Amino acid sequence: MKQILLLLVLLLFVAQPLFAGQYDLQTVTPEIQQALDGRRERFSVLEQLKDEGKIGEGRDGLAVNFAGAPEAEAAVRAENKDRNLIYQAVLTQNHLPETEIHTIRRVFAETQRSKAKAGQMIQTESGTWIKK
Amino acid sequence: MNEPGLKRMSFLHPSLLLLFLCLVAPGCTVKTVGDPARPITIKAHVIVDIRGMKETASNIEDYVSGEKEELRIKNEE
Repeated sequence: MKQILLLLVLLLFVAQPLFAGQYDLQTVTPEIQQALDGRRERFSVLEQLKDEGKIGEGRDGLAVNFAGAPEAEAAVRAENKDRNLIYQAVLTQNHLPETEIHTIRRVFAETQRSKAKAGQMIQTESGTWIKK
Repeated sequence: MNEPGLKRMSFLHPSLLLLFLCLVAPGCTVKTVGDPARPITIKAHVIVDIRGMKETASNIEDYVSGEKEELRIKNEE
């Protein structure tokens, strides 16, 4: 019995890497890297805009500009362009059908909601905007 | 019980069978041959493993936010 348990534990250790990040990107092309770098550089700007209540996280995995301010609009447009590129890359590199882009967006939106700080605007799955 | 009998039993030990199945099952493939003039189209609905996708989303968003310095890439087998 002890041997069986030991074997099962061993198998779990071996299998764990197989399940962690099963939809991770396989290839980071220059285009994808540019999108990731752009998002990293823009991150603090977006956080500032979120703290000010000018933008929020939509339920489709994209940032939304509430204020309509030009500085927010440019950042949101660039951010969403990069996000869409990354979502599409996850889809194609994992050989998922086009219809699953909605699932990818939904899961990324949920991740954004969980990472949002208190006071930032987030859109729930039902479409309601709330302040976290 | 004699020695060969004991050895046979250990080979068929449930844990060893389980290990064998876990190793062999992923590698099993099925090859079919049909009529090229009458192609068969199978529309399969792919269900995304949400937990797996959440792992990927967390990986990317942690990298973007600076929480992680490196992005985890899937190794091709």
